[in-house]
Amino acid sequence: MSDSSVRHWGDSGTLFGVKQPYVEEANPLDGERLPRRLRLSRADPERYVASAGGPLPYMRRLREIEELIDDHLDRLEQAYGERRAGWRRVAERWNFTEVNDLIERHNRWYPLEARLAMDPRSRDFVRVGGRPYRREPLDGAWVLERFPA
Amino acid sequence: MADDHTHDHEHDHAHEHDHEHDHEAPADRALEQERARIRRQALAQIRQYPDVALRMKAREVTEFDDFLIQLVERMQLLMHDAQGVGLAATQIGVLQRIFIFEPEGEVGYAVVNPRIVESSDVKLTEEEGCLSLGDVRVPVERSTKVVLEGKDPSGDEVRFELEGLSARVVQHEYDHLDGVLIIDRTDPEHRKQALGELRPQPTLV
Repeated sequence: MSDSSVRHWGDSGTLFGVKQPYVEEANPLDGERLPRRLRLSRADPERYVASAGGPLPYMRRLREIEELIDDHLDRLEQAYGERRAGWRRVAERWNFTEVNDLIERHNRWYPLEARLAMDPRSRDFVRVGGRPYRREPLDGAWVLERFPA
Repeated sequence: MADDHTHDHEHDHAHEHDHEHDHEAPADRALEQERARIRRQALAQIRQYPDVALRMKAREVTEFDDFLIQLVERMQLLMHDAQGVGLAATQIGVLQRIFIFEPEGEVGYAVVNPRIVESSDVKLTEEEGCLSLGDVRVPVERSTKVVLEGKDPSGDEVRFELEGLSARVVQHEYDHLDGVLIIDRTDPEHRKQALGELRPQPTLV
């Protein structure tokens, strides 16, 4: 199939043998050269499988970690405003068990579940968005960095 | 390693298989479809050629902890769901010397830091598949008997004297831990053919 035939698929006029009205906005690629990324993409069954079941476990876990961190920040902010005396002690005793458990599971399973690419030179997984995929567990130092004593 | 028996059945007796499907009860068909769906999901978690993890040499395991137990459990589930008879840790992106295998009619075993200490001079060439190589099947020559030593996930010493399919499977999985694939063990003609099948095919949209 040539590029020209791809370019004009929108005005071919029929779908399952039924004449269709041509809607220009329906095909954003009409008149444009099809990007190489799209032309060479593979329709792997695994991609369909991955997308059919909704967010994957590692995605849901990351979302949960973010939500729990936001929740901790809200509660810490409130506590910080109410009580400055003995703040260091409060910060160091803050309970992060639930979110740290999720972070530990993320650090263990994320590269496996996401099939994270590997750097053959470092023999480690590639960075995600320029950062290591591993997340540091939250502790008193993390609190004091954001809400100093 | 992919289950050879299932594969042979699918390929070599395609017509009979189709014929059987015609008379298959809807419940059986639904079960078969469900198994196929589970297999696809499992394969989606197993690294596929040309993932570089498949070419890397795994390191010795030094810590026998809960993580190792959980890892082995995950591998066993994945192998079972993918309908395989063996799986190496490198196939899921863990560069540690661990593999699991399931001898015919027995429960699966996990071997940590495995060593093939004896292998027979008698060798046999048979077709092999791999859970990381899609539908590729190539003839590979392997020793018919091997003695495998290593540790179980608790750190206790284990020793297996294996022959037949089990011997073949552990040699296949052992190769994975050194970054060696069946396409490296087959003859040049089959290798060329397999690489052709594995080459990404552009999809016109």
